[in-house]
Amino acid sequence: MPHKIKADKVSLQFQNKQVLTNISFELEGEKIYGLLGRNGAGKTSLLSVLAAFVKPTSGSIAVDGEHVFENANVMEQIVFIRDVKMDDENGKAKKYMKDLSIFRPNFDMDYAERLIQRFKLPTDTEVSKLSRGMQSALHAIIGLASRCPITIFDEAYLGMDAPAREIFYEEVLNDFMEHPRTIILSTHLISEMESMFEEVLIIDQGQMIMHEDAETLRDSGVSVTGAVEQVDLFVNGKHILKEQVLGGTKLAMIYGQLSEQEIEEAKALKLTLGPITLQELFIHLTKEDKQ
Amino acid sequence: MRKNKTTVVGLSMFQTIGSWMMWYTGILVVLHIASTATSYTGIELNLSQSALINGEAGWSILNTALTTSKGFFLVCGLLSMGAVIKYYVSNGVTRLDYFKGIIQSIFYLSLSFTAVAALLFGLEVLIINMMGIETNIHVPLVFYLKIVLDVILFYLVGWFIAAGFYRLHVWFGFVCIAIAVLLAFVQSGIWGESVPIPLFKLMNIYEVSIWIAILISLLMIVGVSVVIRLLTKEVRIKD
Repeated sequence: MPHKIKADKVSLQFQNKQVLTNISFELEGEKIYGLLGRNGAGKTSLLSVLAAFVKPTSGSIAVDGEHVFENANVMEQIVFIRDVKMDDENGKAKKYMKDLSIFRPNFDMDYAERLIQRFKLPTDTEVSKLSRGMQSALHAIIGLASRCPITIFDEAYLGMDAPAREIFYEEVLNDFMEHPRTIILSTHLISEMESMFEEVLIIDQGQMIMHEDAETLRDSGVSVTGAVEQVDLFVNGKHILKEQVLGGTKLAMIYGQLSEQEIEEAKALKLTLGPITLQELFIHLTKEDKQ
Repeated sequence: MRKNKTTVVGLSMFQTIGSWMMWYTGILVVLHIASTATSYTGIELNLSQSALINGEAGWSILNTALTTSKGFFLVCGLLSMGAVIKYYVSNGVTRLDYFKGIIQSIFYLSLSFTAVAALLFGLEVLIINMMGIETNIHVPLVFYLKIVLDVILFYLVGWFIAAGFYRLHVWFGFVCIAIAVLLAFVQSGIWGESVPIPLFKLMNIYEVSIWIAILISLLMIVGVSVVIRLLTKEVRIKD
């Protein structure tokens, strides 16, 4: 059954530092959500509140109307995977997973073993002695094989090399298709993952600055390429996100959708129109000198 | 059917600490044999409560177990906080189930350790008898209860210190250590144990009757448990 996650004015303060400020959002349905934010924006803190790792200073997060914090029924359904070192953990990978599978009613050990083979995870090495990349892979395997209705990966793939990340992305998509659930992927490395997101939440300096359908976001801007003078003429008066000149050619990215008339005008000026990427939009929305 | 997480935590902690306990018991036996092999030369053992505790009536494996188990279970308590609470909460266990599970495991550990100590003592007596050494051994039942209470209290005290450091500032951790030392002194004093530390002698804690000692020990156990629960009830899980 799809779960509804509702955050209502969530604020979090550590001693004198305000980490999250009045964050509200609703996630409904079995989708892959992207939580984007710069380093230190508050992504991990927000997800920690969602996973009941920390109680919000004010506000609340509820799943299907039930508060998450210290709620055994809800906490059992949430897995929060972070890229943390496992230097204190004992046992080899299979035993480690078997031990924790007793806490996860949907844990699929067969799937975990298939993933162990895909990631080429050594099964004869103590978990604490695995390389960082292999520990990241183990985290990912646990997150996927737990099959929790709410699965959160908080930059859990940063330690992986490119081929391992590729496997991870494939497995997330394949397993999501076979076992639909709410998956939240938090990252500041957007370019590799943006095609996976159905909805995107952007957090900056502890505040939620955007929550949109990914397609809508991609359509919220346009890239314009052509001769410098023509581009300058076309973008004049528009909200420019980025400009780049190479020889006589200029690329400009503008925020906002174009009207039919503007599209015709661009064609007349022999300009090439294209979409902007989430990464470009994200950079614009979170850059420090943004007003 | 949904598993009772308290029991799952309790059994898994019992399994983990229990395996350490077996190692510790093995070391305890080796140390005891090594330290007493030369001293058992026909001593008549007449073990009263405090005499046995203080080793005045001759040293048995029960004394070795009673003395060293405090340190062992204190360390087990210290290790029951940071990484352990992170592991359980990361796996969807509430702080309440974690707390109740650890309490459950302490209960299992105290009983099983006391049973193992009693078995070892029985074995020791058997060997002494087989060697033809004359003994007149009487171990009061309350001595075993003292082992149970010591295991529970010292485990809790270690857990309390770790919870203090984890939940609050370092200075509060040191306050917890001071409280823990006080509790340890009271526990030793009321049961008639002597602690060779000047501060303990200055505190003038007198041996009390068995029933009062049991009551005070139980009150300390309940009190420390309540404080640990308060410290861990809403604690933030650190990286």
